[in-house]
Amino acid sequence: MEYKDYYKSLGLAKAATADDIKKAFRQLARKYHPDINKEAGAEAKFKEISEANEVLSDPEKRKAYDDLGSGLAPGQEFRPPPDWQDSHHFRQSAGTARAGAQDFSDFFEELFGRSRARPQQRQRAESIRMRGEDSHARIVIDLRDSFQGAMRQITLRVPELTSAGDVTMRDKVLQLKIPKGIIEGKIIRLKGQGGPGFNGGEAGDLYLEVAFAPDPVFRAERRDLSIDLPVAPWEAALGASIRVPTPEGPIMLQIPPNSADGRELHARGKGLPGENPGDLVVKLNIVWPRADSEKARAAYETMARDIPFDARAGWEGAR
Amino acid sequence: MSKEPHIDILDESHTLTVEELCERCRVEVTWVEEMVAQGVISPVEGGRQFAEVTIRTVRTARRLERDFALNASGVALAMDLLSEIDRLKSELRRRR
Repeated sequence: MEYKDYYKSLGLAKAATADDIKKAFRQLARKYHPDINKEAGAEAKFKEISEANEVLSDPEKRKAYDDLGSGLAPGQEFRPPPDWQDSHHFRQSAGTARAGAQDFSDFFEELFGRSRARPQQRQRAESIRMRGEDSHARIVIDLRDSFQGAMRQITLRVPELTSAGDVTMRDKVLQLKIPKGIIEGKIIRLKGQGGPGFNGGEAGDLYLEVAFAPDPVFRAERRDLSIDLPVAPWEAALGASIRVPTPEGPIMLQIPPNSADGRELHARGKGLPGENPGDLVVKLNIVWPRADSEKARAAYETMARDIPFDARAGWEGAR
Repeated sequence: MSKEPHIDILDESHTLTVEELCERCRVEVTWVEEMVAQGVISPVEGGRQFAEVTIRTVRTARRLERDFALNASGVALAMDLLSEIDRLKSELRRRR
């Protein structure tokens, strides 16, 4: 088990006052709260500061932690003193119970977590018939899994009730059929795959919110897909028929003559499949060849001479 | 152990009664009523049924309330701003 430097987690010195701790936690919580900050790593950081706050904001726990900590470095291998459990009895604060104590580190659990939660749960299990808790998670799939549908194996950490009435965590592997045409933000419900029920109550459900991993070619917005299509200047000017990928295989897309850079062409029904399939929005991106050969230079010079064209015609009056 | 469980994709046809919503999210009916009054969540037309996907909103609202010690209007404001940020971010992605 690794030693955790809770002061460092909150960016504080050991001499920090209770107000300093409250303020530091609130500021960091606003920054890293997983509902606010969707970046990878924010959730882990939020758990870290919540755990630090849980200990440092409670005078009793803070005192015990301080007594323990002198001369230890973060990450250092750590064992609690042998008499720890006998000499400290911590109240499980409301905050911990709600946040779910299993979210905190082994270090926290060993020192502050264990003894209290279990008897409560056991008591509850004996008395009231209760539906199990729902589990919620996000599942990141490839956009292309939605094109045809796919089978994916997912591993979940799930709570399980032992015969003694304790709740333990274990890994559960599920084969999940990703339905064709699934879109981002949809919620997949797996009935009975959540937490176990108490005293004969039915199990909770597992809810998976679908997110797409970034795709190198397509962007998805609900059922519509968009794609940037690089085109040569003559293709945009003269019109062309260009092969474009779609979920159901490539199509030939007609580029109308005199298409401007950034023009969006809609291929109806060529987006994500479904009862009302989305559109594929193709955005033209004109790419200019460099004038770095005799012939290329000659071609540009011919255009400059023969095409009456003022690129800054719209500037009339500003010149 | 590996098996293929039954799955549902939640849409408008999946609804919960207010009592079910409360049980699922471990909240009180009065709390749900307050969130409805604030416009954070709304029942499906004409009643006391909620779309099952409302669970997601309720859980977010509950976390914000708890983690930032917000009152009901603070929750409503934060939820509005978060959804506006989501909208702007996806607009930005689309334009890029």
